Amino acid sequence: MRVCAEPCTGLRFISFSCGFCRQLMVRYIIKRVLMIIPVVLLVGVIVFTIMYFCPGDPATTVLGTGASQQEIDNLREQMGLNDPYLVQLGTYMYNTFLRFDLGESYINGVSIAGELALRFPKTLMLAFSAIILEIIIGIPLGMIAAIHRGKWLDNLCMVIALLGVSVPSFWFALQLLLLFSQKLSLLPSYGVTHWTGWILPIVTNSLRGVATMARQARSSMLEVIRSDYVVTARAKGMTERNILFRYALPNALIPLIQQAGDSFGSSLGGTVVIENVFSIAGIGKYMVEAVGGRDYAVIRSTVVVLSIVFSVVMLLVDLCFAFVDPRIKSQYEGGGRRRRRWMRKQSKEVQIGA
Amino acid sequence: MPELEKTELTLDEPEDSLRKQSQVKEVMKRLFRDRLAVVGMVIFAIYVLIAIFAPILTPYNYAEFSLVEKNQGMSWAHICGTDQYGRDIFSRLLYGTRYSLLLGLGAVVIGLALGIILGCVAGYFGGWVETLIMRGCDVVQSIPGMLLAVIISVSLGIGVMQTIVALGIGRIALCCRMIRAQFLSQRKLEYVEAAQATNCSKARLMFVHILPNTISPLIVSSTMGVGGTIMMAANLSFIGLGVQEPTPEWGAMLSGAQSLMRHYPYQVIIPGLFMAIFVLSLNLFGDGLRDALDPKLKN
Repeated sequence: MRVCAEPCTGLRFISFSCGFCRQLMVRYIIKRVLMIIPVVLLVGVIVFTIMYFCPGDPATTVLGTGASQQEIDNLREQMGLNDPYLVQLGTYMYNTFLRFDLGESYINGVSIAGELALRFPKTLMLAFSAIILEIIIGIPLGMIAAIHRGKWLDNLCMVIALLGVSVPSFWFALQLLLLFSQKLSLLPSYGVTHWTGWILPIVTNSLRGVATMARQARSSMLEVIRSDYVVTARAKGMTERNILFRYALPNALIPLIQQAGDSFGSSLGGTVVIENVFSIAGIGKYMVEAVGGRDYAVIRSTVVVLSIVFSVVMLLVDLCFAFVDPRIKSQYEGGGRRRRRWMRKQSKEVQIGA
Repeated sequence: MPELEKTELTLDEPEDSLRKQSQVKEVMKRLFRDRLAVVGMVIFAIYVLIAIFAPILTPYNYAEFSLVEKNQGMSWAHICGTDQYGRDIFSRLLYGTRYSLLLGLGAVVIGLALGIILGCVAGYFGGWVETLIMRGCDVVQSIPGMLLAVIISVSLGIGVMQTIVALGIGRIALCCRMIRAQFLSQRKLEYVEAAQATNCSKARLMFVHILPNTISPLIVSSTMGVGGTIMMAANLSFIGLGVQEPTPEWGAMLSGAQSLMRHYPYQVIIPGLFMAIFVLSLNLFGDGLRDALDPKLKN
């Protein structure tokens, strides 16, 4: 292994041409990817445990109320419901994470995995379009507000953002339905058979995220604009445009990436409600139907699958950080006693050599 | 000798004037200067008064059916009209304030209480205790908040207390993470060392000395969190969990009115507006509080 001769070790900057830095980075990425495995497994354990305490008997749900006690007892034995908690948990974890078998719905016996695969694209479409709208509308809105701080444009943007944060999304969805599909008859009120059907669900699901992003972008931008390096750049006579796009924006973006990841989670949760308002056959609607029918197997698997999707998106966000923010490098170095000892040895050797 | 006395006097004077301006007083002064924050506070106070005096303010019983008067529009007798069972919507809205306030504050208080304790312990002790607590937070936070609330309330069942717990658990991890991050920046400061040198107990050091210095970001996030939690509670009621009919919760009212929306749109518009104004007031107050607590914006 070669010690980085570039100033990168001292100044905490990554240089991609340096083999040492690249190696650190690859290690960081592998470590971060491996870290997701225990988290996902524990999510499975937690969700199973919470659902274990649900009232009611799944065997009765499967057979309906007309079944005899004998039939219910037989089915309980067959489903393993009489086993101790740990055995049930083990079976569930083994089936879900090793055999990728999510089981069957209690009510109609349809495979949950198949049903989820069918519905997945619609939910992802809603959640991802929310992130995209946040980035292309929320961030510019916040930046405009920050640049025109204290003027009417700032106030206008922030009033819009504040309203967006304060309005309940499903209520907003109902209002849009009243206006666009009932009064004006412009857009369909349910279903997504035509592309126009997507407009209202996407707008309502991204409303809160866009507004939060605009507020975050404004405060993040204001913080950067006040910083010393922007003042220095201005003193050097750099054009405002250059300062904005080359100095201020990249630094202001860092907290916003985190925000985008977080709001992916809330928009995944939001789809549960929005899909029901607009009758879109996505995962959220599936889950609410399961809540209505007390179909615990479906609820459990849905939550686990959506949490895995969320964890993967958060992983991507973290990896984005590694590329965008050179300061994250301190985290690659932070790992392990062996690495620190190795670094110390290397630096001693360099000193001796010099 | 006289010279010595003089120096002592000059040393004392600035200290006195510093002590006079307490931190809380200064923050309050800045808060009251912010016009929007005052508007938010006033609206919030009005809602709290409505919640307390709901029985006096309401013209009708919120649960009383009157099938003769069902689905009436706005009139002098029924300011906001009546719903599908002839119940007065205005009375139900006023009573609903109680439930929403209780849900929002209850969940946030649960989150704060447990989050602060866990965050303090993790931030102060470090080591494996910290690793354990923080990995636990990671796991809880990788379940999207709404979904966590859904599964907990499926498992606990329908009701006000159950919903408070369902909404509060998601907030614990959030508060814990914030407090711990603040503790890390405070742990190595001189005043902590000074307190340790005076043989101060660990609990006292954590909760009396360090905690007050770390609490301000949490106050802001909790103020805004009350609004967010109220909306989440409404979402839960809307999909058939959380608080259900005949309790006059705003989300449940909206959910009940959705099927009649085409013919009686006011039944959907009015409860939502009432809720949005409440959440807006909390956000305005939270924004003002954040600016007032930010030492960088002092001047």
